[in-house]
Amino acid sequence: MTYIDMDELKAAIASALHVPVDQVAEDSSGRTIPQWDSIGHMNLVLALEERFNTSFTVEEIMAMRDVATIRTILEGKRSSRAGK
Amino acid sequence: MSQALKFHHLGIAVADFGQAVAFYTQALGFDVISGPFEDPIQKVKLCFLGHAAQSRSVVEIICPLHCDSPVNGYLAKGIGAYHVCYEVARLEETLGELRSKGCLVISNPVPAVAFGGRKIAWCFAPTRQVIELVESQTPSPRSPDGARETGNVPQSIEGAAELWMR
Repeated sequence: MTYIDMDELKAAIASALHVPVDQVAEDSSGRTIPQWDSIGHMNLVLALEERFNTSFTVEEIMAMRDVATIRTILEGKRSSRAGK
Repeated sequence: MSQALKFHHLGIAVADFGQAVAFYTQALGFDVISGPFEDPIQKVKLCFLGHAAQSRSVVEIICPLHCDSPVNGYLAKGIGAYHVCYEVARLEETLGELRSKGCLVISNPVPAVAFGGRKIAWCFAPTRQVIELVESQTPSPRSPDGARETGNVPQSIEGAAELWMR
């Protein structure tokens, strides 16, 4: 598994959602961060695509409901890319 | 783009369907072009309104059918007009092109009652707008009843409900 630095991920999420980075934890989600609403989620996905140089499927976008899941998806994409 | 995007309508979310249609028809002079329809996939009631002399000025009035309808999130924020719809000849091809240009595909193609079973899809543009695409060609073989095609709710839409309510 290719490691995604949690601090880097938290910083990217905080920047995309316009919240302080200390407001973002591994278990953060739309339920804990008010700015993480439907439009905020799309902004977040676009920012993550750019930051981590990847693209997400519809299924991945819908699954990315908390920080831990986002990290898992990103690590999976990096691993599959590294394996090619 | 390899194929033209033809403006189809502006989508407006409303909380009270009857009140909104009455306002647009009586106060603004719109006519009901088609509908109302109930779309079980999108979980909305909708109709299309326009001016007889201005075929390109079409608005879609969209009202949630259930508490988990995707448009509830917009209404909760006080957002009315929230998407622009374009008609395209080849939906899948256009989705691929938009994806390559930085748009997120947020819903894969599904049939829509309001378009007689023609497929629609949803994107989110890098400029932060929601875009709906509708295919201009009727699927072949055509279903005799578009509404019946909507019985199976695709996973992407079902999973999106919680997300889009916020």
